[in-house]
Amino acid sequence: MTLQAKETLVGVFILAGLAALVWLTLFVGNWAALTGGGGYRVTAKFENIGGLTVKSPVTLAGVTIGRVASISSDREDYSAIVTLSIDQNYNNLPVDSTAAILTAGLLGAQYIGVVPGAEVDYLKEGDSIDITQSALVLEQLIGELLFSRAGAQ
Amino acid sequence: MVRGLGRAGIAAIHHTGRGGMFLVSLVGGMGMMVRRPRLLVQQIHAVGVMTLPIILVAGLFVGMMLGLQGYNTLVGFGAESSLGLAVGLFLTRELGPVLTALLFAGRAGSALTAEIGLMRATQQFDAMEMMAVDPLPRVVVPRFLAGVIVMPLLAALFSVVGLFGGYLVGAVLLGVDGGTFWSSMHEGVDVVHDVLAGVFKSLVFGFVVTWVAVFEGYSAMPTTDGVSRATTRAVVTGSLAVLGLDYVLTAIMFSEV
Amino acid sequence: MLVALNSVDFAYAETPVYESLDLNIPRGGITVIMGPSGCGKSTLLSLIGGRLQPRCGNVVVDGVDVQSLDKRGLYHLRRRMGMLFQFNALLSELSVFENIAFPIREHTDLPAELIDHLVKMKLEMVGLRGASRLMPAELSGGMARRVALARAVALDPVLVMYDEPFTGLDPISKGVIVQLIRELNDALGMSSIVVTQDVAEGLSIADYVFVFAAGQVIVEGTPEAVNASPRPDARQFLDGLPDGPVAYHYPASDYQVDLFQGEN
Repeated sequence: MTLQAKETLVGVFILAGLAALVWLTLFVGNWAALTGGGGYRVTAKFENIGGLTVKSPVTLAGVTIGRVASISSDREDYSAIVTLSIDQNYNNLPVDSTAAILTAGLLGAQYIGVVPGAEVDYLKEGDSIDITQSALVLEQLIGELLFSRAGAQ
Repeated sequence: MVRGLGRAGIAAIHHTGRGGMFLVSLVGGMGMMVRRPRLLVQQIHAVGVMTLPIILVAGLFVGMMLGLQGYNTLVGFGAESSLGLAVGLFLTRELGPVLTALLFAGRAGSALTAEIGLMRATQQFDAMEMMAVDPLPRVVVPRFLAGVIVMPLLAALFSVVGLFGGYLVGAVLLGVDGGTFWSSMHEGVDVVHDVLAGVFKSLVFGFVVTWVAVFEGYSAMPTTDGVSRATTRAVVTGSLAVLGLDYVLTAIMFSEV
Repeated sequence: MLVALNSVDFAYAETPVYESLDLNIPRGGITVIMGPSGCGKSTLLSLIGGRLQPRCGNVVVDGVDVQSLDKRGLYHLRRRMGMLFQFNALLSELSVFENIAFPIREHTDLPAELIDHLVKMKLEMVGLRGASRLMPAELSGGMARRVALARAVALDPVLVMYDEPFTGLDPISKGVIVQLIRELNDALGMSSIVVTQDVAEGLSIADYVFVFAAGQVIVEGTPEAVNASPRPDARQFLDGLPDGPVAYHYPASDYQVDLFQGEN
């Protein structure tokens, strides 16, 4: 094979490889998560976050409007503080909206579902969602079930 | 027998030490690549373009296998809609970089070792030295650089073909919804943590596999037996190093998701 | 003196090769170094070329102490030397033309046209100008050796070293190489060192001969003087006698004892 032919093939190969990398990066990977700098932050406290992790989705009526930015624990009341990063496009959430930790399907990943309230003012950077519902922990549910049955008897 | 083990252990450490010094002298020779890019291009052809067919075929098969196994496993949980996610994660994070590196070690790595070993056995390196040409920058460095450059490209192509293999089996054959396949993948595969982590892994693998291959060839005994043993050693050491490093890199990169 | 070895000691790991060796190779002409296998002839060439270092003593080439040179100095020296390796050591990925052009390209900035002329001249000298496009794998043994020869003299060196140039060739090719070594040496005004086991060929082209045995020079002189040497070890080598100072039998125990007790 002549040098010209080899060089052409090398060029094709490198282009194909780079194209594959670009495709993987843009169309397979979640680019939005990387460029999630354009959101406003809101905090919410939960008694138990269950399996919620950083980067878990935040949804409104099933539509993803943001991601969990960070999770920490409150030293005073021992609850979990979750910081949500919500996309700027969704800046019309009333201040009395609620946040619940839900599970996708039966065994799926956990996410935060936001239900809008009725107030006129909207949530801004630094606000907090006051009414929250913690994750359903399987063991607690079973415990409650057993206790309630015992109680009924 | 214990003494034999001890001796073998010390010999192995000595060998690795020489390998390290060899690597350092390779770095010194990289300047020539800027002046003679032709050498690098020829090696990228020998090492990359020629390995491509194996990578593409293997990628397709592996992707198809993932589609099948993934479906069989997930369907038990009613979670077959996440098949795209499973295939995507497995390929970009693990199977793409690792399997590509193993195939590369077997096909291109062994060829490099044999070629360099044979050049040593026929005194071509001695001849070059007597002609006052340093053989390392001229012969070894282009091959080494080519291996490092080529590996992430091959791994990416492996993953892409694998994804289509998984789609072929999962969506076309087994009935998972095509749109769900791609969207679940898109939702869950993270650019930095998954795709770029995979690229980083394949760069590391390329570095190690190619280093082992050229070093074994260069330090081979200049006999037929010596060259053949060096070639086997290169493939085995390279493959084991890939698997071991894969564990270490995975532990480092994926421990805090 | 072109090359001088002064009190050189050399050993491979534990096996001593030379002890306090003094050797002076004259400038100009062809110096032939002969001896049985394993006596260290090729090692001598490696010492002169700086690929091996003596334990004691020094090697002086054209007034330069080889051991004192750093890597760059060594490469400078080697540009003035040419070497023909035992198995030709042609670069397998390059054509005949490219192989001969290799040293020229690496060490000079001559334009392509001039390099083309030079290579063709060298090829013409060895009678292979028509084979310039062939690859080393396509060459016969004799042709490959001639290409290696042309490459060794590509830069018109001061000193050319030949490591067993006659080994493994058919009689015709042997005759060709013998003639070429002589002609090139005289035409290019070089000095040549030929290491060989072929007594007839070696004596026929030599201007001066050293015969080695066990790391020592046992005879030296003009070919006629050496061939007339009465020493038994020299005679055994020069005449090709199977038994003599180099014993026929590898050291072993008593034959009768071994036979009759070896029935285990």
